[in-house]
Formats: sequence, structure tokens, C-alpha cells
Amino acid sequence: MNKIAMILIWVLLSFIFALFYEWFDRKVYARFQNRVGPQITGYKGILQPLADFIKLLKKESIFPVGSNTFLIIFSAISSVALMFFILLFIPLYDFNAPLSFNGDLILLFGIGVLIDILIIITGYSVACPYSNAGAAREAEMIISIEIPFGVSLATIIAISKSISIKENLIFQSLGVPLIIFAPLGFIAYILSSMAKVEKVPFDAPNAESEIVAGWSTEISGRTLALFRLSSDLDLFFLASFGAIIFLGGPTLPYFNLPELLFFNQILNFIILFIKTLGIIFLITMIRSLTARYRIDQVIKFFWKIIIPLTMLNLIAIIIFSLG
Amino acid sequence: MIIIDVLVSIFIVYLVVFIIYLLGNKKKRNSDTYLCGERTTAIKVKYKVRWIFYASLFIAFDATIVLVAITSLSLNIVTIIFLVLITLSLLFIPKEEERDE
Repeated sequence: MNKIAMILIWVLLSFIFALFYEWFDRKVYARFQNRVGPQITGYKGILQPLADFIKLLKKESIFPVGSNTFLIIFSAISSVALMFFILLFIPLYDFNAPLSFNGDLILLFGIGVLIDILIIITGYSVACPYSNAGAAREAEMIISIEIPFGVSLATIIAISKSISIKENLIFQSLGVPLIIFAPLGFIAYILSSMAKVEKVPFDAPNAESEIVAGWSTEISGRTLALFRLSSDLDLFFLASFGAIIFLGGPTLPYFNLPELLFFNQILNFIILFIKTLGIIFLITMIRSLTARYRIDQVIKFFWKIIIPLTMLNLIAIIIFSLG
Repeated sequence: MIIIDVLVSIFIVYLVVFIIYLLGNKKKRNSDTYLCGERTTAIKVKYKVRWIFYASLFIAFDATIVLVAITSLSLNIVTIIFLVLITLSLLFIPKEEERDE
């Protein structure tokens, strides 16, 4: 019973944080463009993402004739459910998350790819040329971005000698954050995360000036609300996961807190929150300062620059650990 | 025990999302897709042959990385040779690629 309550609390927290981080992203993005961003709903517009979600949820769904409606709805529900599921592995205030086992890092990597594949399925299920083109671009992008993402995780695993998030955190709490040993891995992680959540300059699958809204062009109503929520959850997951595996998560290097459990947990939570905000700020900054790459440029960029660099980082780490 | 936890978690998150979905507007209708005023349908996107090269490399890399990650506790010189060889395969990527669209 406790476990179920904890899962429900985690789902609620993930929902709240995902919307909060979307608001933060929009607000920072607006400031970079000399705009004010959301400001009407709630304090400084903080409730705007929630209002948008409810508005979309209450609109009717319109599908083009000839679309596979079942697959679209199934993909929408599955992408949000799987995002909530992988967020259950994220420890928010100490080393323990509701779900944790040896090998969870590999599982998260696998489910991350599965969510991207659901997007391709959706794009091809909609009877619209723009959606099909968006899905094709997404497929082309996956074969480029998943490798650096996987290599950066493999680098982390090779350093900490563990495929568990919890043991990875314990390893970092005893020393320094792993970004010190894997700076190229961190850069690859941030860039491939941006491509996963389709942020500029890697937003070719939904480039609005070329293919309207890409794979989500003809999706509306509550299905679109779920896909938007999935994207927000993905941003939250990638930022907090990056903060955990590269920046030490809710711990500070060489800093042991006194044995006051509740105080510890609050402080740990604040530390992770700030680190996650930092990663989202970094993503938003890159997004604000760059222009969109064409899909062939994205592929060339990842295969010719990012993958070789991350592979060199991984090989160097393995040689170093053998020595 | 962990398998039961995972299955229960998946069931709960699916249930929660399905409830959220049911709370939405249930009205649904179909419409035709228009493109510049003309009715259109789905299209088959053409792929270039070179994507097969990238896809094969992707499969090779994906399998390697997961294997390296899983066997991280017993890394040895063979692993490094394997990684170096697969990294060298990147040299075979065509130098100049034409624009896609």
C-alpha cells in the first residue's frame, strides 16, 4: 500500500515539476528574445502550462480521414505513461527512488528509445503528408542521437563500474561529479537530449516553417494534450537524469551533511532542483542562440563530430581504468 | 520482487494516464486534410540508399554500447580493440552529402 501511495505521489510530483520546468523554459526563452513570456495565469504566469494542458484536454479531437486512430491514441497514452514510469527511477531527495535495481540505467535508455519510436508510429498513423515527413525525419534523427546518448551513459557506467543509478550516486557522493571525467560525454548528453525533446537547433521533425508542426500536425484535443505533457515530462526527466549521473544529483562533492534526516532530504531536494534548473537553463540558452539545422546537417553533426568525440572519451576512460 | 514492483508501477501509471485521458473532451470527428486547397492523403516518404549505411552503423554501435555498458565490471584490452575498430568505421562515412530536400 505504501508503495502504491509513493508511486502516486511521484506521478503527481513529476506532473507538477514538468509543468513548472516548461514555464521556466518559456520564461527564460522569452527573456532571451526581449519578451516577458507567460504572465497572466498565476504568479508571473506560472500556471500557464497547466491552463494550456486543461484547455487542450477539453477540446474535441479531430483526425484526418484514413488515420489509424487507435495507434495515435495508444501512442499518446503510452508515451505519457512510460515517461511517468521512468521518472519513478529518479531519486529526488536522497539515493532512493520508488523503483531501483541493478541495471536500471540500461532500462531507462531502452524505454527512452521506445518513446521516440512511439512518435514515429504516431507520425506514420496520421493520414497527412506533413506528419509522415515529420515521422521520417524523427526516424532519421533517432539513428544519429541515440548513439551519443548511449555512449555518454556507457562512459558513466565505465567510470562508476555500475549500471545502477543508486550506486552511481553513491560513487559520486564519495568523490567528485562524473562530469570532471566525462566532459565530452556531458556535452553529448545535453545535445542529444535537446534533439530528443526536439528543441532548436535540432527540431527538424517539427520544423514549423517547413512542415507545419511535423509529426503532430493533425493531432488535436486530448491526444495533443498528452503528447505535449509527454514532451514536458521528457524535458524534466532528461534534465534531472543528467543532473544525477553527471553532476552528482542531490549531493555535493566532499560535503557530508549532519545526521538530521528531514533537513538532509530538504537540502538534497533543493540541490537537485537547482542542478536541474541549471541544465534546463543551458538547454534554453543554446535554443535561444542558435538557428535550426537541416536534417542532413543534424545527422552529419552527430555522426562526424559528436560520436567520434564521445567514443574517444569512452576509450580514454577505459584505458585509464585499466591502468 | 522487483518484477512485481515494476509491473504494478506500469499498471498504475497507465491507469492514471488513462483516467486523465477520459477526463478530456470525448467528442471526436474526422476531417479531410487539405494542402494548398487540394485534398491530400498520406505519403510514402522516400529514403535514400545511404540511410541504410547509417542504419547499419546505428545497429552496430547500439549493440556495442549496451554490451560495453553491461560488461563494464570486466573491461579488458579486447573491449578497447572492439571500441577502436567500431570508431574507425566512422571513417567510411561519405565525405560530402548532398542536401536532403
